[in-house]
Amino acid sequence: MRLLVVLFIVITSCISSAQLFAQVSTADAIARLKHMTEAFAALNYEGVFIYANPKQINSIQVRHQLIAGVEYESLLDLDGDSVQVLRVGDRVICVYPDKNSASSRGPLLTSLQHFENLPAEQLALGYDFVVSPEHARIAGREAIEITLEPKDEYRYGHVFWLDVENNFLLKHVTLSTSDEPLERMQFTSVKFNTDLKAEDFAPKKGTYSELVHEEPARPIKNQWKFDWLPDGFKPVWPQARALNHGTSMLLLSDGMTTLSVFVEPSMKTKAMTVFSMGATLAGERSIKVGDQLYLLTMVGEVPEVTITKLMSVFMPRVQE
Amino acid sequence: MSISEDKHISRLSAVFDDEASIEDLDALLQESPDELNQQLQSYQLIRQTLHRDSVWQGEPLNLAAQIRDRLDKEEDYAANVLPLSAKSVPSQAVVWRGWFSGLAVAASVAFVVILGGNHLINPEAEVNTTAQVETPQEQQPVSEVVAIAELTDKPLPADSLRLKNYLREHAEQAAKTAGQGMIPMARVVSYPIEEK
Repeated sequence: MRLLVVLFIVITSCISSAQLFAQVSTADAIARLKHMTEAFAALNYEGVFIYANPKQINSIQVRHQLIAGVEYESLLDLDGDSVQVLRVGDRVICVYPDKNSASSRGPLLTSLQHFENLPAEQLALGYDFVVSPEHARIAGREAIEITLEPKDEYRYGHVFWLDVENNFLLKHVTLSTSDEPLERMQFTSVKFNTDLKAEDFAPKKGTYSELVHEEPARPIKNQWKFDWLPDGFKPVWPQARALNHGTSMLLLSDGMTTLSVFVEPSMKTKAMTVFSMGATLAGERSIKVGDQLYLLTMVGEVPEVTITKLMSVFMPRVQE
Repeated sequence: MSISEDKHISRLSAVFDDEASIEDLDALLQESPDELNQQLQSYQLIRQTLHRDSVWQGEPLNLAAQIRDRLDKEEDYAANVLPLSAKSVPSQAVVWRGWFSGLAVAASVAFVVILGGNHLINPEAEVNTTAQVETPQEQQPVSEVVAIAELTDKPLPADSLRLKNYLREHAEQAAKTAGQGMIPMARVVSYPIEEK
């Protein structure tokens, strides 16, 4: 009898310890991920990172500095056409090697925007958090490993390696539902507490610069809805956004990954097709509402099952 | 059954079948509101039973008043939303207004009644009756996974460009929304670029 009591105490204390560890792990992971999102804008840094998926690999230089209260940021594609995006405060400038390449390419990217809050509760609906007790070494820095394990088949897993000192994102891997790496971002070198000057961000002589005019998003009434969403996914905007040529855009997120939805009137039918590149999938199909055909396109870093299922439960809202 | 009763039932039926003309509706609304309401509710109940919709258990609703209200609103709408050009040419406006309001009223009342299956009777219920999504018949339900990098080889440049624009838009919004830092931006760099 005494042995049974001892055994019971040992087992319950083991379970309690595991639960406590899981809670600490989740709280620690969320706190660190929150710091990570702040670190992009708060720290001064300069480095080179690579982005790789099974098809290709790119290296990109990033620089960020606060100068007299104004944020300076530069992203330079080190492969291919050396297109650079500069952000000074809220002005975005795209720098091309020459005018010809400017006319043949759109802006590489707008800027390294900053997200406001990490939605901890929303994330917890879709993922379990695991903080590795072991530290790793990335780009010469000590890193802590945080894994977001998906709770269902409708999202991918993520592994983040954050700088132990300042929670800067040093490496990230997206994992498929069978734990295969789909894409990887990793700094190969990074320097913090930099002292870059405004002239360090000036475009080089001979390059062609263009100020990027960002059209403000035009909110419109959302005419569409989903009959089902995976746990944790919800619309990011209360309304839809109007793009060119009568296209409406909706955005869904589970706090970690996003899924964009584009709907436009169409003249021809299109069979369900799914395109893939690394972790990004794009699905297309025609839908018919009354006599009107629409082309539905969904783009996101989610498994194919999520795209195909969401495409089958997408429908118009009833007019009120 | 007298001819007038026969006509009355035919009008009621037309309302529920989305075939009521403006004359049908006007004639129905001339009748005793209570009696009309009772008949409309009976029709509604039969319709719900046939379609296995949820049946409203609360206070009886005044369907006739709702249809009349909608008709009044349509009259106001038709009077107020005429294009300037139509307002400035009265003779044309009269003809156009009659044609327009007839169509608008018929469509709108049909909308009220169809929605009434759930929405007016039970406002909490989700209704999809007027907004069914169909898969076009000529569309084959095939799911084909194609690498985006292969898009440049596809014989549909417009489609390919459209998709790439969407990928870019997605990456930009993802960078603003999700907590993945520069990763969405890094993805954009890898997307194939369509040369103009």
